Amino acid sequence: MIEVNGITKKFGNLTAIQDITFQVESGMIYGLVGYNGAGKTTLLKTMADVYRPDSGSVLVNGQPVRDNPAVKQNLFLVPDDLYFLPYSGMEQMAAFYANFYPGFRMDTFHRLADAFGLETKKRLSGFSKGMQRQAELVLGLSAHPNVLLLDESFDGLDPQKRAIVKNLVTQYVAETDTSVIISSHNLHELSDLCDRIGLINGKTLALDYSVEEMSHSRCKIRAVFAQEMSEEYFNGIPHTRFRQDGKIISFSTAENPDVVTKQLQSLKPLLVEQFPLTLEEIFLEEMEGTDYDFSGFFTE
Amino acid sequence: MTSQASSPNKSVAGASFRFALRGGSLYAALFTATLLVLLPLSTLVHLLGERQGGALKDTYVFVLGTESGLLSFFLLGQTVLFSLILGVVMFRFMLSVRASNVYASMGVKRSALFLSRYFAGLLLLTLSIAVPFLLSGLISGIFLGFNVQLLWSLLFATVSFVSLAAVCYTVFACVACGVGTLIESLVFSLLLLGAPSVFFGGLSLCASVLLYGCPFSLTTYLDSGGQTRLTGGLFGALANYNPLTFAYSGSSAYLAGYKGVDGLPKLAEMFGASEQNWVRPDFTPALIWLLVSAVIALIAVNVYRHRKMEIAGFLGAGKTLNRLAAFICGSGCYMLTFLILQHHTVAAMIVGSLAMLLTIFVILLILTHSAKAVCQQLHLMLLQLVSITAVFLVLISGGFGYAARLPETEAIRYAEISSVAVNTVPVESGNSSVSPYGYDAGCGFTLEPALFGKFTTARDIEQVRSIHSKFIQLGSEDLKSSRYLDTCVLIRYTLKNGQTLLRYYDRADMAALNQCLTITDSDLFREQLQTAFHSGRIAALNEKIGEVVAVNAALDEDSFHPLTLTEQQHAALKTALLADLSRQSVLQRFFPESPAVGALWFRVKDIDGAPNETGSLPMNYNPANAANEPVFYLTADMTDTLAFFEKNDLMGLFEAQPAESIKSISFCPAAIKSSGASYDGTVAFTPDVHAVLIGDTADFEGEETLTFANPVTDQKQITALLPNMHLHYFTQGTGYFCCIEYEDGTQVRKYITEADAPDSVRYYNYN
Repeated sequence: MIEVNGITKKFGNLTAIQDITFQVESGMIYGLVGYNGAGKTTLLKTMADVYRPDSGSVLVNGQPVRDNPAVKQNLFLVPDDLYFLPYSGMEQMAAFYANFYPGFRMDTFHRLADAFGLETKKRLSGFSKGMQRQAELVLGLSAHPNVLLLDESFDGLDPQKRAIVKNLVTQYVAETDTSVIISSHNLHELSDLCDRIGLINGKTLALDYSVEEMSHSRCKIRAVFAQEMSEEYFNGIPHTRFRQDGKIISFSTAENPDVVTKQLQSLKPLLVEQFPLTLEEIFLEEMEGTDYDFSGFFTE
Repeated sequence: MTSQASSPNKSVAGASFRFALRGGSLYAALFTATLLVLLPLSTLVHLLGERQGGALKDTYVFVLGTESGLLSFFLLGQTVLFSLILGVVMFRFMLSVRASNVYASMGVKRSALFLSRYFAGLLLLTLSIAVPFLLSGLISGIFLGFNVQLLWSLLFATVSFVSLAAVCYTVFACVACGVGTLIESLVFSLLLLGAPSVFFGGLSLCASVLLYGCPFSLTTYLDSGGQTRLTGGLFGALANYNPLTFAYSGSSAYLAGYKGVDGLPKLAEMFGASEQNWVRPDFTPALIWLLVSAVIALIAVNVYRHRKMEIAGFLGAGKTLNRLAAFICGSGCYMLTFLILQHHTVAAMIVGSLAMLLTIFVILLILTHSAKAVCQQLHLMLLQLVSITAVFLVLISGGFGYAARLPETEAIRYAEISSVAVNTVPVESGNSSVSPYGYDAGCGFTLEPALFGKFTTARDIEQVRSIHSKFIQLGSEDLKSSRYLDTCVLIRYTLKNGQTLLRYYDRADMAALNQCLTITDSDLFREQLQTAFHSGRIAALNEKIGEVVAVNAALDEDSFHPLTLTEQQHAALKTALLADLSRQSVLQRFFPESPAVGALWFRVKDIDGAPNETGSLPMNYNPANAANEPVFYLTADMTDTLAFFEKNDLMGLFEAQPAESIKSISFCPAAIKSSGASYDGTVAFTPDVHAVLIGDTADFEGEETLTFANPVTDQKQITALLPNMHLHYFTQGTGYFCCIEYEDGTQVRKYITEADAPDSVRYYNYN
């Protein structure tokens, strides 16, 4: 189990992440989402003891990560910025990691490399970006860590490889009870893969729910009225992201949808429907992204 | 494939060490290869070549490398270079964002990771240095035999250069832990390693400008034994405290051992044997620097443990190192600016201060990209400026009494001093002089400043101190004014506690330089005169084989009269002359009140014992000739010698030609000539003036530049002038050289003082 307790990390005068707390149980896949620059990579690197937090701690099975070989020999970070030894191939990198990860298995390494169709003797500098990412994943999984941190690991992978990776990770977790944290922007994939999602927004962890909880945490209500209804009519009803399209309105709500539907009856709708929100919609709602009016940007 | 799980108990640190060894082995191999060429290969080639010439063991005791001074320099360069290269190989991982992610997240303690790589690099460096030295030692042993000098020297040289490598490598490692980029690591490392050189060298040069009497601008000088001594300034004196020089300065003497003429093994010099006996080397500096490396390594471990990995790839992340680097560069700039503008001290310091501030500002701006952040450190910049200025103020104020230091007579074992002119060097000093008058080996006539004499009696030491105090008093004057002359006066005391005190004065006034002449009024000078006259080394003084030529003051062809003396008469003349010379005061010797009666020229008889032909042989004062054929000017105070001539009815020989045979007398001001080409620009102090005959004026080099004018042809005026014209006088830069031209075309040089010169001579425009 990984415990992240009150982690704050600053870079000079800039606070990157503040007071982040969450837990990832063994055998759980945790998805970490956030906009660009939210602090996902910072958080993962702090968990991997690359960065030292300004406050807070990271514990793995109750043991601090900080400068702790016993913990870190079972923790593998697959970073966004990949590093390979100069002029090395996968074989050399495997030998390199084998020195530092007692659990590293060469048979696993070769099987995984075959599964991905990667040539282990070829120089990694000759691989494409996607192939390099696959290679790093292979190396990471071959180390048989108890904690696996994947930073944007799906980026650059073709759909087939994405599917393979997802299956691999799922299988690995099932077989080894590993804790996995994946950061990504691809919420579709995360929703299929992860057991729990954390959303970093405004330097903090804005949301931390299981996928199921998140799906049920909000819903979208769509109603049709006999006349056009502006937003003032709905002031008494808890809602967000109000949209009006003629006589059709839609909004999201974190309240019980049945309760909200009942409240709507007072406005005499012709039709009321309830829809679950996708993770992406929840993400966008939480981020409170501004809708820009781009008209005239290129002609005026 | 069979399943192979890594051992869970495998030592990760050991694996890191082995991995680092593999990574650095190529570069270590390159280093080894270069040293193999510099050491064993060159030794082998040299010894094989020398063996063909025969008598190898008569020349060498051992050889580790050839041309030891130069070799040490190359070894220094290679060691520093490859130490830094290996540092880069071992520690560049922490300077890359990507590599940092991997290494920092791996399952090894930071300290273990650092130390494993550190020791791997250190081991590679040690082997790269030790193996070539060992091979060189083996080769030397095979050719020349194994001896204790070889073994100690081999060990010493190896330890010295391993220590140097350790220092450079460790400094790099420590710097890398504190910065974000490779370029900073390299530049800051070089700055830190070079900082002592910058400070010692720069302060040394500035001290030689600001501190009157400071010898730091001198590189070498001759001591009274004729041995070349290095001054080196602060740079040399503190060589063992400088990481870049301790190995070089210590080891160069031990890279080869030579067999001396006395059969004892000798140390090496730049290009051959020195006169110093081989002694067991002092390992202390090397061992201390190894200890320093260990301390720096411990600091580095601590810095790395606390390193923020996020600084990787970012310039200017190490604030302390930024400030240090800026300070070093700024200080160097201050000193350099000062040295360029040294003739205007106040302006130099002001401009130097501005240069320093600007340098610091620019460097910090480059590193931090933030003028605002740099300006916020203004107080630190000012503090740095104040610290350097304080050092300069200390130097200007006399260096805490350095400039005024004059050891007490009781504390001095012996004193040595250089000569400012001919006739002030005691005979038979270590500088190959055999003339009773001395042969000037001082600054005025040689390129290398030279000390002479070991003045050991209290009276003599007091004499030297008296001269020295005259110079010390000048320290508060504005020496740049035209009243002061370039000169070269060295004074050295060897104290009873073993310390030496060396002072070097490159500017002085005539009063101080005249004071130097008083050294002839010393026990040592008189003692050496005695030795010269009686030791038999000067053949011309030997009554059996020498002859004496009496020369009258006219110095024309008819002026030379070889004397026919018996051995007893020759001996009696010598006794009288020695007594007179020993009794002479400084004034009588250098500033006689009346012109010389004539001169006595001692020379060796022809091979068959007959007197030499005189003809028109020049009687010049070329020191080289004077060394073998001493010339003594006979002045009115030399009563014993004059009595001898009177007694033997020989005074008539000194009667000069009548004035009617003189065609003209022309004049040239005896003004101080500064930086004359003949004297290599070191001295403008006019030497003695002595007459020379035409045809050999080149022997008296100074006279090449003399242009005579304002001829006097009136016989009455000539007759009036002649009695005041000196054959021998210490000009002091006043008065006039006189060119006397006889009717037969003979020319003679003499001298007249300013006071004795008539108005027509004094007020003539000689330009």
